[in-house]
Amino acid sequence: MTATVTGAAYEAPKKMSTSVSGGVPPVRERRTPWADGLFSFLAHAAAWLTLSLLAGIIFSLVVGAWPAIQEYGLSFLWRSEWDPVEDRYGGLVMIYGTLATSAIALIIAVPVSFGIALFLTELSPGWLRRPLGVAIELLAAVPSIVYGMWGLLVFGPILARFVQQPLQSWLGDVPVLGAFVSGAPVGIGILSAGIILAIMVIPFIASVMRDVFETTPAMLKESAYGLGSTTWEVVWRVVLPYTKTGVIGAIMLGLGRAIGETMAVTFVIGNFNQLDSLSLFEAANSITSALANEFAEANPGLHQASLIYLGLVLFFITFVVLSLSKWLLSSLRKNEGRKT
Amino acid sequence: MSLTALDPGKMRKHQGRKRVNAIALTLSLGAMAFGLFWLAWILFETIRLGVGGLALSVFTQSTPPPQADSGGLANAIVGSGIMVALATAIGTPVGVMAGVYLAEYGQKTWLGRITQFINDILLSAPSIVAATTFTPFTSIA
Repeated sequence: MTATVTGAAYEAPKKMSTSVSGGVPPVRERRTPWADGLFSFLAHAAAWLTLSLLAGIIFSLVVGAWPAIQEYGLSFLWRSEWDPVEDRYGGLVMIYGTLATSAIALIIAVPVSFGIALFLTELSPGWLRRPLGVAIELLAAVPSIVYGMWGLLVFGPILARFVQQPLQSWLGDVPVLGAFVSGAPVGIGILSAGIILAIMVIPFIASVMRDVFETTPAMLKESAYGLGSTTWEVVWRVVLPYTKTGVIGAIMLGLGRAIGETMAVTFVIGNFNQLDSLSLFEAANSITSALANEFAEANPGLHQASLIYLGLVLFFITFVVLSLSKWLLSSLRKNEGRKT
Repeated sequence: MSLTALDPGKMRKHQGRKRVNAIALTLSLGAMAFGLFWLAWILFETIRLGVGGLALSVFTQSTPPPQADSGGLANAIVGSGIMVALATAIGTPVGVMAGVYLAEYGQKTWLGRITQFINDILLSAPSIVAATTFTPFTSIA
């Protein structure tokens, strides 16, 4: 509908330019009069295809999860029992694992990425800027399974030996803090997964932050420097307020990555379906890792349906995160220029 | 023109600002080193642990049956290549056309806005969810 209108409007000036004054306007030869319409149709079809992809994913997730939805309803979200032998399922352990590892990842990755972006835009000498930026982006090019194997074979044991054991001997008898560091020192668990996720999302957050920092007009920064600001004050009071929407977008991108990461988490989280301690070093499970581990061997029935239900929950979490960030961005944009 | 000639309170504030600046810039340098440290460590360990298995047969022979002496990963490498080629062949036209739609036809329409939003969701959707999506139907088939 819109396509035909715009097509006609676009043709009009061409016809006029080819007409000869006083004579009969020569008919402009069009070899493929249908091409414009076809192109428009294809473009519209591609847009509809992405729409129907999402609808199809949601539909088939709901269909697949239906037995579990019927059985448990929303109580699935806070039941912590996961017992394939007894055929009883609840998602709390995995949901907690996913949220806890992502939170640890963001707590580490956001300040570090900010520091890296600050370094790359304000401190680094010009000739080092590109190589260092490429090196950070290279972290994103490492396949996630390499992170997983490295975490399991190299990083986990080191974390257990040089971090967990000293912490245990130091805090082990303290009532509350002791619970956070309890558990066998094997180096797999929520903290290892969170740290590895942090390393994996740093390049995404840092490179987007660097890109948006570079969009700050030089005039603004130089005005602040001219008034006597230090580098830190320029970044904190000028660059960051100017680029806050982009920075939030970067953090949300990183969060989305952390929530959905599968392979690296599967290697180091321990795949233990019980939630009986708050320890950061205890083996746990995440939604993605439960799916990766159990899906192939799950019988069609309640087990498979529960796993698909977990997938639906994961999809819902990413949906909420993304909608939240969009909403945050649009409300920030609306307030722009009104107050500092 | 030295600042000490001025109010000592202002001098102290100036020193404080300089100190905050120095701390922040040191931390920034530290963050950069932190990032590079992981990269160097992972690359080093991957090469250290992997270089022993590197041989010509990795690229020329298929995965051996259990207990066999020789073999390689040629099937896995070729499989990755075929998979990537197929995905690119299917995904590129659709992606380009959807992009053309967003830029040329649907910038202001409701379909354009929704497509934009849904593309963002599909981009950040966990890959494993896409995998579970098809399973109910493959098992029926």
